[in-house]
Amino acid sequence: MGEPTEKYIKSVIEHIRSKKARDNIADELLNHINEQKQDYIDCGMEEKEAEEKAVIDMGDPIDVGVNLDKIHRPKPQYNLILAVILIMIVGIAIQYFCYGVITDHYVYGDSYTQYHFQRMILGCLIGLFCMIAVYFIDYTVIFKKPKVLYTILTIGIVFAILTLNISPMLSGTYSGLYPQLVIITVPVIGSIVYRMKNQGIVGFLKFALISIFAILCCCIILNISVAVYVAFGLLFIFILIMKDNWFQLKKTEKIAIISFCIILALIFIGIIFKSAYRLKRVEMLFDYESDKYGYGYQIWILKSIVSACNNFGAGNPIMLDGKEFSFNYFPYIENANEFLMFMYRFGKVPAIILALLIISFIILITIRSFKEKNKMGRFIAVGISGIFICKILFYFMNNSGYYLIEAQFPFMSYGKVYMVVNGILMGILLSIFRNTNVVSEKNTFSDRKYNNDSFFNRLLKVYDDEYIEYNDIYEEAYEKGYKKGYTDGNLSLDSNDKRWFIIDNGRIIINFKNHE
Amino acid sequence: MKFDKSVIGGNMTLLILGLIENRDMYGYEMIEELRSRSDDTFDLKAGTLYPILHGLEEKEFIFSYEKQSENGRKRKYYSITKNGKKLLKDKKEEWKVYSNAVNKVIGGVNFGGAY
Repeated sequence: MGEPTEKYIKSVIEHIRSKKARDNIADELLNHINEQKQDYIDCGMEEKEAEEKAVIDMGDPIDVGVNLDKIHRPKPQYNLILAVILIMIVGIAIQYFCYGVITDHYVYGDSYTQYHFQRMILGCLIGLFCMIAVYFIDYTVIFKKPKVLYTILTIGIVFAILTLNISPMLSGTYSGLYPQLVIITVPVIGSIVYRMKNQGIVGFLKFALISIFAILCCCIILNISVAVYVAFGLLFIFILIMKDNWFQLKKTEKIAIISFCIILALIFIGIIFKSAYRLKRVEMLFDYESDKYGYGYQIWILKSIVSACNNFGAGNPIMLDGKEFSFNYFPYIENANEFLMFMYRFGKVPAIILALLIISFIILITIRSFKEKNKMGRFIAVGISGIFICKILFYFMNNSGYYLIEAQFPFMSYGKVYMVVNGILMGILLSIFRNTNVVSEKNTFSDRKYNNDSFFNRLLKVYDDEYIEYNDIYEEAYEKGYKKGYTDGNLSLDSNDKRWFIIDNGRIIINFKNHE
Repeated sequence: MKFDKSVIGGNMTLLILGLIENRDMYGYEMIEELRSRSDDTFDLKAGTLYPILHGLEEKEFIFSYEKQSENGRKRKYYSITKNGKKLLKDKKEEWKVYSNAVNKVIGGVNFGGAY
């Protein structure tokens, strides 16, 4: 690179604030100058003169720099941050107006309002702090070495449980630190998958292995609700893998993999319901009456509260069996039943409006995650939105009287640990959306390579339902390429709008170009 | 003939999308192609081209990928997306209406109203 080129690129780059975008832009501009310079040299110009002229041809560097800076800048996510704050305010208001009126609760009695209200505000502040802190971190830095992160997390969890045992046990499961660490593995797995592009069936097996290991961690911490959250996040990542055909799988491989996953899921479900206790819990969803004061108690109480609600205004204090209503019947009412309490206090219609608002918010986030431009960000974001969707799904199930697994509503439910982990997850999501134009990933086309004599080459599928021998492809590709003006040696064309062939050193390289 | 910048400024998107409609191109190629196809009328500066390309990529009308050329040089190619094709169609329509209207005013040929 000569002096004028260097000077030009430097003065363009100076105006671009995003350090990440700089390298790519410098590369592109340098290539352009070199092409122009070569053309001038070919026309008979001296090298120095050619370079100077090529740089002058580029135009005003300051103008370019300023214009490019406008594009490659972080996009602030004020709307989403505001939405999270609103959900938190709703949560705090529910603590004050709905739980606050409870006086007949034997655990907290008159002090209920003070006890939870203050802690809820504290929790929200902690959650908000975590979210904003992560929001300002570039997510590519966090997920720079995902394999290391994954190993530390999973081996760390197993090791810590077997030897240190620092997390408290509650109702037979580990609560506190461990479950949250397992949840964090989902975005980490997402970024590992991003690095396994075009690995074929091997890539999928690796994904399956790390996923199963994460689920096994949930078994070690004896926490089925966390296992379900993690499974949902992984399921979303799996859907994205299939949608984008990330591992470049063939149709038969895809079918094999999907059936493998279904069988695996059935095996896991089978293991889960081997336990009579868990089976009973599902049974109670449909028939709580048979064991109203035993296994069905919680569902009976939840359904009683639902049945007590009116369309508008406060509910009637009467239980399903006609007895007078008392929150003493429900010892864990403060635990993730905010929505139910809201419904009891203000009526079904306002509650449904609130639910619809929240559901549309989460659907919006999920759609944005699937559409994220940066592929690494997309995998992480989709995993995280899967976790949120799962939590919300089971939360609403619980709150309408179908209690299956414990689920807190992100940012609305009480609990500082949940606030921290949800804050971190949301922060990562926001960081991905924020940096969408800053992080620029290079798409390269050295995708899945086949050797001439390989099995794949002979059975290469060119058009739907039609197998063509290598020679046929070559000739057809060559012919089409020739018509399009490509010359010998290196040939590329867009047959079928999806596939690219490049014949290079006796090898055929096939690229699956995705226009979307 | 050199043009007033504002004449083509607004239609740069149309021209660029039109260029890569059928074939993926890299930046330098676009400028050359534009120049030759327009008989040296559109002499676009690289400094104008790249911000437009990056802007279009940000809005997902085009996407880019790197590919090595015969001489081993890495080139960044741009390819049109589905959304880009849609935009191109709208822009073409827009241009037709606009140029028609201009012709009507300044007295160019207009077969549209001929009877």
